[in-house]
Amino acid sequence: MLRRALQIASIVGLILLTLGLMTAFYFDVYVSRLMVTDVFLRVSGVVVFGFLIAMLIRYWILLCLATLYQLENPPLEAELDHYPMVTMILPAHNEGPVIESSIRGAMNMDYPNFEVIVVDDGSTDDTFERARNMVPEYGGKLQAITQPNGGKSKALNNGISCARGEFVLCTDADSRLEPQTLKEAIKHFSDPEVCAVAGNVKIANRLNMLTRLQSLEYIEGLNLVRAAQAFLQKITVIPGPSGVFRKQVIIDIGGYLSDTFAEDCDLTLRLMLSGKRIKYESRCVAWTEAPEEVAALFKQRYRWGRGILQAILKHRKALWKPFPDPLGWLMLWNMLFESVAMVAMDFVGILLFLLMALGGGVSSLVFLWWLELTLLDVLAALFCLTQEKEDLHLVAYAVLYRLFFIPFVDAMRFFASLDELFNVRMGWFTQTRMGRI
Amino acid sequence: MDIELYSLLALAILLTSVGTILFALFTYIMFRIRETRKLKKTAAAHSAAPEPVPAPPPPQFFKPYEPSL
Repeated sequence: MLRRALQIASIVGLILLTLGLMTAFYFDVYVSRLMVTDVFLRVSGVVVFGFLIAMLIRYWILLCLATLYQLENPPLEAELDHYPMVTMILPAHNEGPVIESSIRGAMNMDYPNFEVIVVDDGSTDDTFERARNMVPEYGGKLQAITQPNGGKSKALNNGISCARGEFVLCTDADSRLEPQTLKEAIKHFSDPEVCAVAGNVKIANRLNMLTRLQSLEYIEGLNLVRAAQAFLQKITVIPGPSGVFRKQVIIDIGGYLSDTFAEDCDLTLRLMLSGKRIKYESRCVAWTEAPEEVAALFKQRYRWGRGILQAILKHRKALWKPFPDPLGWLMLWNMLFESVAMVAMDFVGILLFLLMALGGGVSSLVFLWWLELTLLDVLAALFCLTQEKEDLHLVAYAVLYRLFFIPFVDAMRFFASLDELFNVRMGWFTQTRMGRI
Repeated sequence: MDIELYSLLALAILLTSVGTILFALFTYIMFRIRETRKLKKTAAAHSAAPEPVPAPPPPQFFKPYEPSL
């Protein structure tokens, strides 16, 4: 425990120290040596510098909160006296090639009292037949039901309405859960106030640069944010591949709704804004398959971008009501800031730097800017990878992360936000599975 | 570090960033073209198909969502 605390404290200390020095150096070069007198350059410099400070503050807050979360949440070692019934719901649409291995993976769960319900969402392949053929093998522990194609939300609701468990674990047919997931999640429900536990999603197919960059993003970007939110007990997205809920709470809140493209985010926001307590458990690991090609990544992020914005705008009335839950209100504003403002700021930053470099001859600042952000990413990656006992080789990808991945992902989110604001029509895209898991 | 070296590195970073954004724009345009075609195709298929019979409303298992704020 002490070793762990020292490890965390040293990394955070290093981050703060390095960033402080870098910022001081940057400021020194900008203010003292370059003698910038042009008004445009001065204003641009202030805007870009303000953006940098906002980014640094955001990272520092995230790292501090995530550290506090880790310190406050040591592994829950004790065995449970009672294992309540849990129903695992696997919605599946055209997952024929992987459904059997998905069911076997789910059945491997190290938990004494659970059942699995496969909900076939009107597949045109043999998903349902394959799932149904496995029912006798597992006796009463496996159910396979089918419905006309209606989307993931309806499939999950259908599964919840058939569930016998007091708790439900909602996952994807293409994700694989670690065997300890249920035990680790159920421990949190000994607190009657806890209504849901968000799991930790990791990329399984780390086969090329794109999927490795996504692995880093999941660990550094998404899970770091979730751990920070968990400390405040204000999680904004319970990930689709790994979320455990009290069944009655989902029923009371209206189940999954299909009016956004991010049903998991919408459900979480409804829970959060109604004052329910959501926990994060980093040991509830779900391994999932990431897009291996740029076009597939684009579709996924476009859908996420629009879906999250839809979910925020759906709850826009809550943006103007800081009471009775000021922290929930702040988290909603933070989501809006990260979905729209941060993306726009990235673009404005690059544009201003371009103008400053071409027109003002202060291109050296661009390098300092990039170096500082990259250093920040490298240290944050080191912190997160150490925390999660992950492959440290991924740190090397933090350099490419800032250079290629962030501008690309931000551009996708920017286009998605524009399309959402202009109400451009959109269909539901499915990711082509490579069957890597 | 020499300031000229900074400038060269900065130029490389800027070119990479701008190139990445242009690549994203190209991907977006291609995506929009494909999506528009797909939506048109779906609309045409729907207009050719007979009017679907509305399904009966599902039993009220989930309580309707009422915002608390």
